[in-house]
Amino acid sequence: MATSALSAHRRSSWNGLVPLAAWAIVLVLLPWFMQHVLKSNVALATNMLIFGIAALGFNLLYGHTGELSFGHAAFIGLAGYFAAYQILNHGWTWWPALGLAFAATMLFAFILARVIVPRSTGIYFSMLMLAVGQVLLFIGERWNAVTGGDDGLQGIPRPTYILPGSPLNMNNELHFYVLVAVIAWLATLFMWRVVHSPFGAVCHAIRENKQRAEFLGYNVTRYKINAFVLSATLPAIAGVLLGYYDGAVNPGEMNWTESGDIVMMTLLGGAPTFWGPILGAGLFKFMQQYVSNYTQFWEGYIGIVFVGFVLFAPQGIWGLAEAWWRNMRAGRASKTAGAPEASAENAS
Amino acid sequence: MPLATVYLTIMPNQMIATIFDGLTRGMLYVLLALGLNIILGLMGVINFAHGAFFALGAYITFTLSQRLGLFPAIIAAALCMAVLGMIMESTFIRRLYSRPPEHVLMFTFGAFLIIVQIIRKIWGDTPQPLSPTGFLAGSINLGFSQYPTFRLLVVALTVLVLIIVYLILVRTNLGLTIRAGTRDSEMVSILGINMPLTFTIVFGLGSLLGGLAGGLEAPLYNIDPNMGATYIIIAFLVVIVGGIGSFWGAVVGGLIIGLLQELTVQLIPGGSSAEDIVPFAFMLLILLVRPRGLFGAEGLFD
Repeated sequence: MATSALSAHRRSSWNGLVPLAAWAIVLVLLPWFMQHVLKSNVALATNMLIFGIAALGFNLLYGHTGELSFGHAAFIGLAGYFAAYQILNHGWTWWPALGLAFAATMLFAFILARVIVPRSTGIYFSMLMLAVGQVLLFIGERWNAVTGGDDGLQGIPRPTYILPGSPLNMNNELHFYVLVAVIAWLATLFMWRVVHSPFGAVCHAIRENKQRAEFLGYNVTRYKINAFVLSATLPAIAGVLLGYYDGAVNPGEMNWTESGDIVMMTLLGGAPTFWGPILGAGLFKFMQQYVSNYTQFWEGYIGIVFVGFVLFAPQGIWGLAEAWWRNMRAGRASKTAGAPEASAENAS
Repeated sequence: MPLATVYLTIMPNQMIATIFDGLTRGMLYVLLALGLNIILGLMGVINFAHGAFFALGAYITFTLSQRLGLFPAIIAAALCMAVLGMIMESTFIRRLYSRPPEHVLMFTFGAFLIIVQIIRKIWGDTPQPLSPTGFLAGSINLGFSQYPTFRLLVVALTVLVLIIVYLILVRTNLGLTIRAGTRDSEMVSILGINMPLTFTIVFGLGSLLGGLAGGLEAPLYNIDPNMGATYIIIAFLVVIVGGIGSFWGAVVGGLIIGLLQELTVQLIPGGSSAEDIVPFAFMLLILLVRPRGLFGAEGLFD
């Protein structure tokens, strides 16, 4: 038992090399693909990745630990506001702004996790997170002196200096994409390590059966608090990137419907899978841009697709693909194995 | 509240009028939250679509009132929403009961988005004004001041509906089933009660209350396609404050939040900027003292 679990664990960490390398190749090819195949632009690819990062973080809490938050857009908005405020009022540059926004959002997430996670679970948790997001939204809308009210904070310049000797010019969309893509890859690496660590295994156990995990001696509440805080890391980074990307932050980013968008992205791509949220965010942002060219009611059409997935394929696109792939392999295996499999089927 | 005392002594009439305004606003919250709460209590379904039913109820009232007159339009809109709710439950939501509860939540969120876009497509984005007509247009002298007849109708109709719902819950077999099902619906269905039918009826009843709230809201404030998104959040807060699945929780919670909002807006200088925050602050206060809400029962949704 112990040895097989150990070897499975070792194998899984090696398994990560191939997907992460493939993901790097996808990131390199994506701008070309967007421009020449989909006839779109690099900026959209950047947008997809920013929301992919956010959804990946969100999914640690939902897809991997089993608690649905309807307020994760709050972390995106909060980090965006922290960074934007310092950039605009104190002329902070990229690294300090990112660092402060990240640290402050993490502190907020930590306090919030301590307050909310032990007190609520399931749909009650969803509702409380929704309420938290709305409080931040209203503060953003009303606290004009700091947040700029309904207009938000505008005129954030793209970062000019990232690394010594870097040839990147962030006002060039492709160069900005490179920055976001590198961060997206690092974020994926980070989340891969988290999900495939012993900690991630406990999270999966909590998702599958909270009570059993408790009986096995795990402190479920503590694990959930940690998962909550870790799930806020990537949305915080995405929030800062989004501020730079749009050149502005506004309170609408924290609205509960934005949190709903993240939920939709994750479910469309596949909540029980690792790569689903990224795929879903990409598809969602692409559909948003593409469908809104034809109709201003794009949200309704995306809603129809979403409802269809909830009803008929809650495992999402990546989940469907995985199942299909598994069937293919099983089919091939039974073909090479030949008779025994078929006879077993006849017997039953 | 020294400020309130000052107002009460200087201008008692205005204070009473403010309290009445708060009560009418609260009545809308009570209707909306009660509809949400009986569905949530019995089926464990957080119904985002409730906000869309609310908005749709307001818009249908708006359109029908041009032909039928305001009062029949409100009733008709509420009935339409009941039918729509029952259709939605029996065709889609029913399939999701065996799934994790989040799936129903997500389904209703998707339904919310779709209905709001349909409203935008039919009625457009610009807010529509709808003023009370006929005998509802005037005002009645209540002694302390002239008070708009329509607001009195809101109070009277809500109280009537609340009494009916209460009697259904307490005096009928259906109510018995609902109350027992809120505790343990599996057990009730084992006893031979047709739970799927009960679920559909309750979903219809909840949607009816949501549509009614929308119809009553329409002449009080402007209607716009996003009204549902704002109101559904307040309804959630009322449910959290009052306690999940509790009739009196929705009533008391809704009235308190409506009153608090109105008092903030009218008595505190610059208070209108805090209007949206007040319900949340109140919710936090309640949760610290009573995590299950004012009337929340032990053992539900653990």
